[in-house]
Amino acid sequence: MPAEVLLQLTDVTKRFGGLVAVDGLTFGVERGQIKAVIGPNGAGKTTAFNLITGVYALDEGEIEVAGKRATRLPSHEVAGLGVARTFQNVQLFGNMSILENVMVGAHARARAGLLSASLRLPAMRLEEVALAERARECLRLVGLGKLPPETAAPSLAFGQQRLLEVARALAAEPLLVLLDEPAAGLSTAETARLGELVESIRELGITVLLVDHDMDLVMQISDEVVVLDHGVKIAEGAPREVQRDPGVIAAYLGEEP
Amino acid sequence: MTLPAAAQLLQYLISGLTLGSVYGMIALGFTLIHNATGIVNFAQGEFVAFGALIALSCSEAGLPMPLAVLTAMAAVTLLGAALERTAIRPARGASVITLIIITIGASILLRGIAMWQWGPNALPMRHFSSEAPIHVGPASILRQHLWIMGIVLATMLGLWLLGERTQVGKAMRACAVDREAAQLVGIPAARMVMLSFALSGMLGGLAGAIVAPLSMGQYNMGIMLGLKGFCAAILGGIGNAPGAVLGGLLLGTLESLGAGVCSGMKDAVAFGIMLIVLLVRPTGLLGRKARQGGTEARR
Amino acid sequence: MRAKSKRYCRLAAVAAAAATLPLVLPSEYAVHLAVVIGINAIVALGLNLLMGYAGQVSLGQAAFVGIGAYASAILSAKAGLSPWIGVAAGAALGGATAAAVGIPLLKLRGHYLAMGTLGFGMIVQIVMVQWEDLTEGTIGVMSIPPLSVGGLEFDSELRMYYLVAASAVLSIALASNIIDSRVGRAMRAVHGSEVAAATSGVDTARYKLQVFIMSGAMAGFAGSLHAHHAAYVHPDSFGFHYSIQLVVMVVLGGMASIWGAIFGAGAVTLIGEQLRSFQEFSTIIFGSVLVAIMVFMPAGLWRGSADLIGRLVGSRGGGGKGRA
Repeated sequence: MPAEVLLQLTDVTKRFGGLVAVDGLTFGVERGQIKAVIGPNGAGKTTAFNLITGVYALDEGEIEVAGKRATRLPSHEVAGLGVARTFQNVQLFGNMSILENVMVGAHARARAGLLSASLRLPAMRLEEVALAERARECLRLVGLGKLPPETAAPSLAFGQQRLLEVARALAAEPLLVLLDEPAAGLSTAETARLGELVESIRELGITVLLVDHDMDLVMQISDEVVVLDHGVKIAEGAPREVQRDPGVIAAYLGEEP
Repeated sequence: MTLPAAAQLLQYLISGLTLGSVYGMIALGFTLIHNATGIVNFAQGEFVAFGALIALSCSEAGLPMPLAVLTAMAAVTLLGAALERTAIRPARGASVITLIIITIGASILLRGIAMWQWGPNALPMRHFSSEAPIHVGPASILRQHLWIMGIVLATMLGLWLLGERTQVGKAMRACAVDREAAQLVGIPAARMVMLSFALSGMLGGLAGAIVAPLSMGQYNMGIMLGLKGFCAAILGGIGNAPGAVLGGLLLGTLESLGAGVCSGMKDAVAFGIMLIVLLVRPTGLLGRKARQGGTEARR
Repeated sequence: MRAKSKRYCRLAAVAAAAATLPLVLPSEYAVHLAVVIGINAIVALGLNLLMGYAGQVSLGQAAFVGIGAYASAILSAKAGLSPWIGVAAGAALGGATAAAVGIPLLKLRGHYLAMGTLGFGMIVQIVMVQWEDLTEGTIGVMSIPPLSVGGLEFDSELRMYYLVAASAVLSIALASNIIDSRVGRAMRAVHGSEVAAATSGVDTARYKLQVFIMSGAMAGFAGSLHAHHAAYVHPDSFGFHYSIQLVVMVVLGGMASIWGAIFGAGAVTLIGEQLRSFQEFSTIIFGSVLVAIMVFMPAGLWRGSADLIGRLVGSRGGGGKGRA
């Protein structure tokens, strides 16, 4: 049975003035995979995420999510296709509580508009209860369930803020979750817990694409790895193979292959 | 006796270019501060008002005109620096809205001081030289028009030299292009900020002093002049010095022609142009096209 | 739910306070001031939603108030229609203008949006002055009939007070409902982090526009009330000065706070009244106080004082929360 391709990038290119950040990038992510994108600094990894989620518009190429065209779609429509993400520099809603932060994640799953909100119609109230329950569930999933839900988001410790972003992404019930450097700034213990969390996300049926610099984590949890260098894919395959690839080694060590 | 159409056109053009050069100087003041700080200085118009009022007071008190103008310039330069020290520096890092309101508050305060010192009425100021008009064919041009255009030209030249030939000027240009990079090479950002306010004060003060003989000096003249100067800056491309001047000249001319068509809507011309520019090409005529993923003006 | 019943309690308390306020006011002039505060509060609430919750700037809000005021004035005083139609038209036109202007303007951000709204506000005022056939220009529209229900005319300060107070309480309820809802969270998310809001599925442009329209409609509605209260409208009332006052009301009260907006409306209106006696010094004082507050208490007086008190109290027991 052929695996379903949830995300497919084909020949994706992005230029910033004279700089080519991503050059002819082609790779896919299959349903149920945990795939990692790695590469030295400036390789174009976060740019790729920004292209997928509509934060940047690509110059050339195509992006498909679950067979549907996602090229140049605005971010909120890409989210509607089932893609959720976290950010390298944590982008919390600092003006809301942790519960509200996660509830926003489920925005596309709810419907109440301005009219039913102003009048607090019964349908809207039911929806709010369901949204809050879902948000609490996601907080429990990432390990933040013990905190009071009205806790102000900015008051969380850094590691907890990262987890909050993951909870927010999960609230969307996405097909695919993009984790942008989730382990950055985490302690060894926190990173180990993160690895377990990523596994449990996969068990929920959600596909994971992550970018990170922590090689141990990446090699341990990923099914496949894509290696970028200067915006170009230089290797793709199982973690073991990629680790031994001479081109990859050279890229990280700065030697000519 | 009404002038034939071509003569009228020439007349509008002359007054338009004259007023436009004043707008250009005011716009330059906005641009300097915006380049150094990213702030829009709502009190810029008040620099103009103070320049006008101080100049006319000095002139009334018997000072020879050049001295009166220089005194006004110096005073408003200090005013600009003082504004930066007392209201802007302590609020560094504040949000856009906060900064906007601070400069708005400062402009209200300055207007209040102006009214307190000079009263609510419009005050006349002597022309720099003879008030007799010069006839250019069927149209006439006042000597003051020539003074204005000449002084603005000289100032632009002076600023250009400052930017090209002096260390300070180059430092300011560096800040305008990339503040962080400038700081990294050792340019003291805080001092640049104060300098930009001081220089803007000087430009505003000078603008007020040279336009007062034509427009009279009044405590609230800064509101409209400031706003229109800002419109000119947007038109030319905020952040861009030649753009500011070009925007000013263009705006002055268009406004003058518009007033010829329908005098009541004269003020609307400036705001209308600004809105059109903001919506169609927010970087203005000469501004750089904004980069994606770092746009200030638009999403 | 706890939060909800707390909100209803507060609302009930405010409604009760508003209902009994006239009993303790010393003069009819004081009641008049209360009406003005109420009208300003409704505009400030809408602007607060826009600025404090959605994080957008408007330096031209007076234009929407003016549009509502003139709509009601013209329809009732010049066209002879029922004042209630005027009020409905005021709100509708305020919202519609906001929609028309918002679609292009809201693509701008920060200073550019501020200047865009400012330019819009100036142009509207100029049109009010120039379109004499419609607005009577600088003469203004006079003899605007009062609102009435059945035989009861709202032609006294006291009656207008109750009408305006009820409208204000209703506006508070509406605003409060919106903030604590999916729509409200979306708006606040846009303010918190526009990119994260977008990737979470929030159509940021749509929500910015919605809140802009709401603020325009509320301002228009308030403008109509003003027309039937003052019985006279004039372009001077709806210019840059009033727009700035409105922004100050919102900011002074602390941006993301409904009660802050009410407080701000009251404070600015009353301070404006007090300053009148200072004549020439009024603007000097206003300007300096404004700068001082923004420099030292950018979270606004309401929040700032609450924080201050919280810190003073909190230094003894546990941490002060400092929330309004």
